[in-house]
Amino acid sequence: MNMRQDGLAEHLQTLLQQLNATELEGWQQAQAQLAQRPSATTAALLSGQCKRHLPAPAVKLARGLLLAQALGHTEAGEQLPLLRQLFLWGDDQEKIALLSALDWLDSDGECLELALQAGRTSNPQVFAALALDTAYPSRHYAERAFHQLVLKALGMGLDVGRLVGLTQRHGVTLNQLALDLLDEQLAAERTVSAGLPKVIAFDLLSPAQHQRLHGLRLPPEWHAYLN
Amino acid sequence: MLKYFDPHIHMVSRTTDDYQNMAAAGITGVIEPAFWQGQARTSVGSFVDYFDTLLGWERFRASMFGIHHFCTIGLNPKEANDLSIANEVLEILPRYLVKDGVVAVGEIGYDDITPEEDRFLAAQLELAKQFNLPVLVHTPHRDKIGGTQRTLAVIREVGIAEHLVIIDHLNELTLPLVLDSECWRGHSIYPNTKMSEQRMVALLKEYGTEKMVVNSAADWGISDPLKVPKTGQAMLAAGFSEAQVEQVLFHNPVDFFAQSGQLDKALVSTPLPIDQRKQWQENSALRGQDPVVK
Repeated sequence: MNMRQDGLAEHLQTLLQQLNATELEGWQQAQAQLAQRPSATTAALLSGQCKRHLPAPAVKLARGLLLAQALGHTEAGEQLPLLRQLFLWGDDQEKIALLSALDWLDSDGECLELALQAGRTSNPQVFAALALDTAYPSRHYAERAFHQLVLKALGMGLDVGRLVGLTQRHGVTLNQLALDLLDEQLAAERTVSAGLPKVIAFDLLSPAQHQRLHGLRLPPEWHAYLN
Repeated sequence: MLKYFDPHIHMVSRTTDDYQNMAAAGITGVIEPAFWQGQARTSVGSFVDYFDTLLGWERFRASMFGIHHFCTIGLNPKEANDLSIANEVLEILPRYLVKDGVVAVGEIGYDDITPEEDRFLAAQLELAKQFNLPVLVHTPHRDKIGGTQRTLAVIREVGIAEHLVIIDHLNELTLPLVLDSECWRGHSIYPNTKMSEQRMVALLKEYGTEKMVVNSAADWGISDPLKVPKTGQAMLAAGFSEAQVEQVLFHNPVDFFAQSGQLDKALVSTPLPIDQRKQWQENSALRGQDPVVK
């Protein structure tokens, strides 16, 4: 599995800056333990203990870096099974750490299936870790899967403006899906998803679609897009 | 009192209070479709235990409150995507489909609308044909129109008789697609994410009552196991007759699932006799209360 080495070094620096001397010592001991006994079990134990030994804001990043170290100690053919195992064993916070780190742990998209499975969660925080502020989906997802990601993010009320690469995935198919969702929400007299206009490529709408949108009573934020 | 039947409710997630309130509201029977558990299962054994619970403990628990309990068995679409488990689940399905009280294959259908979901939907429709069972099909939350269209296409490709299929969770946009088929039409009255009583009444006014089915789909989410009788009240308030209410909220679902040969309409027309002295594997829902017998 190819990791983004520049990103790794940068993340490590960020982590180290957050640790005091005692925490730093604990972190170095954890790294030494993993180097001595590199296995899923060791990585899982150390990941669980992060919360006890490190400041709260540093835990997610530390867990991601432990995963990177565990992968570094593992034969290429065993890396994906290791990551899958640690994902299965992880609680939601550990899953969030893994998914947040996925883009720099796996630059080639080998974990695509794992990401797709992870995306079936009903926990918005876990889903947000997979979908928002990370380039992994836009780099590796096929069109259909990316569209599903967008729709689920809208359904969960997440800020799709933080979906990296969304504008590059704009198109007539996504437009139609977004308009179907809009119709469904209007039929049910529900609040229209706030992020819906960001999903639509207004310049690719057909004249009939444009006309339909103009005829609807839509929230004010739509007006800037429609005019 | 009007009699009701809730043909889609996940009672393993509900309390004994719910059973008591449902019985008091006139619900004589329920169907509990196998579905997912809110988080992914990691082995086929979890499915085995869950299916056994639907057939065993949960049916017993319902009987403690006079409610007839049936179930549908199937691999839900979300977990069809985990091939490491899905293939094994498919292998164990036949032995459950022939059990007493299993009235359909379900709930099956689409979630993300992936090739894997295609495959397991088709395979389970084939199983329904093989075992001559009705099918309960879930329609997806995302791309609901596309998912419903594809569901109808797969039903036709497999060649199962459409009158043996109910397509569930329909709304204003997807019901018209199903009206062109012989499939039955399921609607879930569920707060916020699905239909409301008033919207359901509007659909019944527009499209009539034939093959129209209503359920609560109540589960571990914020949902309401009394949505079927509440829809009945909304229908009466809108001018429907009591006979029409019972047609949609009792006869239609019972007639559909009775096609399995596993559900006797005469039997479910009255509540089960209650005898809370009974036990299931030496366990009871009572915790020190005096057992009710009536």
